[in-house]
Amino acid sequence: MNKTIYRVIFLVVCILLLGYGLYFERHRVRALDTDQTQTLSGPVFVQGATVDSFMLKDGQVFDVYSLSKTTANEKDCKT
Amino acid sequence: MPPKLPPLYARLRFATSLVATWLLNANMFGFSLEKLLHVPAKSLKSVCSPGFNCHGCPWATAACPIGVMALGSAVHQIPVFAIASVLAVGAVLGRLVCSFACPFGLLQDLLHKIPSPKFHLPRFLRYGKYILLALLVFILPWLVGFDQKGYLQLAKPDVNKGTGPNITVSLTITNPGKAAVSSPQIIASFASFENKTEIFHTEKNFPDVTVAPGQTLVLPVFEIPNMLKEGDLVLDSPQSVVEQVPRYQLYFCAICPAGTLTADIPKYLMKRTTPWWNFAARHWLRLSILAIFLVLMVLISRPFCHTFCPLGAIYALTTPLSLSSMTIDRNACIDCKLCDKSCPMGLDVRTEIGGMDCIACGDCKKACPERGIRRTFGFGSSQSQQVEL
Repeated sequence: MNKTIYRVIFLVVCILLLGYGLYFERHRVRALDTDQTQTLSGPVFVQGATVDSFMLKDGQVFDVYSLSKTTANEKDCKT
Repeated sequence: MPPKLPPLYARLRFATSLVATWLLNANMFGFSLEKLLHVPAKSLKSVCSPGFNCHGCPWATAACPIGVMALGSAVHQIPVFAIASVLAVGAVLGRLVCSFACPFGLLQDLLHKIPSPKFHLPRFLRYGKYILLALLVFILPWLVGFDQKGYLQLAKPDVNKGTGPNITVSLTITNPGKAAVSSPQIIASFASFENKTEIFHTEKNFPDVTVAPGQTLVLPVFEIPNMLKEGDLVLDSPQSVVEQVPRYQLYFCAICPAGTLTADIPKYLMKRTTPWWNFAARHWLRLSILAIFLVLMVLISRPFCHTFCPLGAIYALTTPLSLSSMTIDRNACIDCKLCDKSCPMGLDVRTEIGGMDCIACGDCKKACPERGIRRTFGFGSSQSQQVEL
């Protein structure tokens, strides 16, 4: 019985987290050269992490490619 | 004799793994899954792959959740969507994904079919994947995830216009990066007033100049042709590109054999920018790890899942609360141990079935002559409360 409750709770938590990530997750990302700010949703952040790249500078997240003038140098995960 | 299972069920695992492998790497030979689904290119990379598949692969369609988590840790952001995707899959399917939808699991299964002496790994190595998950996906990237090379920022130039055929330019440059920039290179060009196309272009090199991190200096004055009546002067430097240097050598990605196999090797074969004998040490390290695992896959069943896979570690942590499980009817067990022999994870099936290291492949279910092993799905804690599949 206990395990049933835990399973239900875990699944509900996962669904809530998924919903939060899908609709409410936000990451503020800056461009390196213009200091322009862009807010990314959870899925776009995942896509950005995958196709472009982020870096951290002075506690702020910078998008290395998409928002800067080096857009042409697409990274696509340099492993 | 146990009744023979229908071929469809017996081959289901192979078929689903094959389909998953194709779906996760569908963008090859000119085919694009995004085009088929009428979505923008690379937009599917906002979805995390349930199986272990590097998004650096030239044909990859989805994101690797481990890569995203490591990069998220490096930039001190919690990628909730990526983490929740993995947890949700784990909550419903548990480690069933490892056996039914993982491209790297499929590779391991195929290589293990090569005839050779077979071995088992020591049990304590199973904890390796949890250590790697904590250390190389979260802790190290969070603490020291990124480094930055030097780069140049160009201030507004001081131009001595005059009326002669040449003008002199005095330029101040700054290096906000963390490493020195040597031999600054400045590109001076003129863009026409009318359509902004480049009408003149020259390069100026300063081989004796080095700009230290954080340093600002004035470059020696240089001359360029006076074309100020025809266009705007534009100064730029190829070294003004801010080179991101993620310390991938500290991420799991740096040692990931799946990344080496599906991203590094195909990319190298496509471009061949560097002769193989000039590879950096880190590339040799990655190739060595891949080679070791490929050999181990022939000798040992699923060595990567046993010891290394951080995604499998997350799924393993969700297994106790997963809806999908495997159970054994102890009353039906005749202690023949055929299940143990069939288990690709080398488990003691009678005690470890449905546990954190059980990938729910169903091989033991197939092997059991008494049909005492069942695949279940549901919220209930006892077999009667679950649905047998």
